[in-house]
Amino acid sequence: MKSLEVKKYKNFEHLTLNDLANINLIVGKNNVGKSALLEAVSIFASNGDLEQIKAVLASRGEGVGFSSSVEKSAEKEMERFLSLYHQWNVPNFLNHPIEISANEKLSGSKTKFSMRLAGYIKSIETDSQGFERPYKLLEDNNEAMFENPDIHIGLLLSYDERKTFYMFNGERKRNPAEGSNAFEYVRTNQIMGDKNPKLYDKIALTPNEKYIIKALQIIEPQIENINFLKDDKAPGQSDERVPFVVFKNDSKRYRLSAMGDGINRILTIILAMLNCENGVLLIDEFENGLHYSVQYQLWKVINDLSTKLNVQVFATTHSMDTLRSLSELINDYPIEEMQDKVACYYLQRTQANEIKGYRYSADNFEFLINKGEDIR
Amino acid sequence: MSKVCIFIESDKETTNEGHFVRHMATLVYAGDSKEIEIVGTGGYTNLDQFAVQMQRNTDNGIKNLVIFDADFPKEGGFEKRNLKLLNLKEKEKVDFELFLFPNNQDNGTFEHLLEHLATEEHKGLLECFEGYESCIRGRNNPKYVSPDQKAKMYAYVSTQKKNSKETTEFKKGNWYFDRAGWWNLEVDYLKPLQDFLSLYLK
Repeated sequence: MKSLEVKKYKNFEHLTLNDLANINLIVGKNNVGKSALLEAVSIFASNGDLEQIKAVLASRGEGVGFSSSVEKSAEKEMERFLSLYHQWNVPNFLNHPIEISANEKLSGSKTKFSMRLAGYIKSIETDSQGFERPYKLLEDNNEAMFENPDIHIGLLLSYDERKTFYMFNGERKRNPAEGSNAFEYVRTNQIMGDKNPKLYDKIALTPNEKYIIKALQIIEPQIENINFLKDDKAPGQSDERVPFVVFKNDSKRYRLSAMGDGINRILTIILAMLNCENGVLLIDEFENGLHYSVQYQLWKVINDLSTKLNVQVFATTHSMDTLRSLSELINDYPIEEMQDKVACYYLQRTQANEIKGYRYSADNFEFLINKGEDIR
Repeated sequence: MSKVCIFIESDKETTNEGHFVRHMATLVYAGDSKEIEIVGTGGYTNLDQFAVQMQRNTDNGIKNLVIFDADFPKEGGFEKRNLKLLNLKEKEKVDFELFLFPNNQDNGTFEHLLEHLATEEHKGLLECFEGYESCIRGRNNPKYVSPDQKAKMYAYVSTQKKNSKETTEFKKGNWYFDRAGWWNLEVDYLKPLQDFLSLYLK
């Protein structure tokens, strides 16, 4: 992505981030939408896939489920999706959609995802491609629809030309997003125990496997190999697999989970990154579990892989150590080489009560951090 | 009164220049003095590095003031430096108000302004320094800096007797600008700075 535009999503009335780099560090005070920005990017990178939107809701404790009463469930579901909307305003959500759009880096072409509430009535419709649909979407949306028992409210998702309609009453009509971009989202404090084995399997025995060891050696240089093995300590007949490592000149296997949060967090980040070639890696609160002394080395690995695998990275932080270590990385290279590779965006609520993004270029960022300025 | 952010030429806020600007600003500021932020830029050529902070300030209702040295025609001078910094304003699309030491009119530096603030009681110290500088010139060695306005004003403050706590503070950049016996803040030469600060801070 060369630039990103987010409208009406959570904290953002209209946010624009221009000149995105390979590594984009997102900073700012609490409640300015740093994590919301990562969510927006994840929804866009999934090509607006409903399952990803639900995953975003679930990660915030707003999981979409069903209660025994269909009516109640429809209401609750709508409420949950509404929590993604700027200012939680139902009438506005009917007519002013959430929009997430980006300009492609190479072609410059713009791709847009949008999501809004839409009214429908139950009726068999045949669409332009000859497919039957059990609903008819209404042309005009207005608040009065909520009073009419024949009109139901659903969610209309558009990604470029593709449209998906989701009904809130338990009946689903869903076209899975095809050809979604590779992306991985590493959340705050997250060590993706359930997902990591699958991510590892995709990398095992490929040339990229060596990067896993290289990353783990940032914390423990004696690690020689890793594998995910069945957890013999898990109760019952669990098929859960957990990471084990072996050390140089040592024949025993050791559980990685016994080695602290930092190394497990690094494993999670690196597996996520190796699995999103030509895609996007999102890391919420980069510094979590990581001592400042290892952050620079992790940035180094991320920078190398971001170029090698063409992965665009978005990471949030509150940590001065993270800023310093990234500045150290910039300092390792001629500045002209880093201008496209690193950028820092400061999200700030302006006097007009809008969240705005301010871009620090690599050289500007390095100057200010070296000078001791606090740009968090 | 909205907050203000004053960009100075020193590297950090805790230099004598930072202390002076904060003291002068506090004298005229109508709001809470904690709302005055002083940012050391490390030199006039670095001002563009603070463009993002200026944009952020403006969007947040914070007034940007830039108080730098006019310097002398060899490298600057009032007209040239004024023009250069105002051009930067357009180039970087930032908003700030500019004042150049010593009095927003003459060539010179912060230390030239300070010279005008020496009190009648201690002005003689500056004459003593003239003698030292005349001696330096007599050496006729191109490796020596003369005149040295920074050293002159440093000597003026350094020579004043201090207790150990004051000496420690002095070494940290506190030149006790609130001390009427050392500094005369009533002089006309200071009025342009006072007027400038009053205009944006009062």
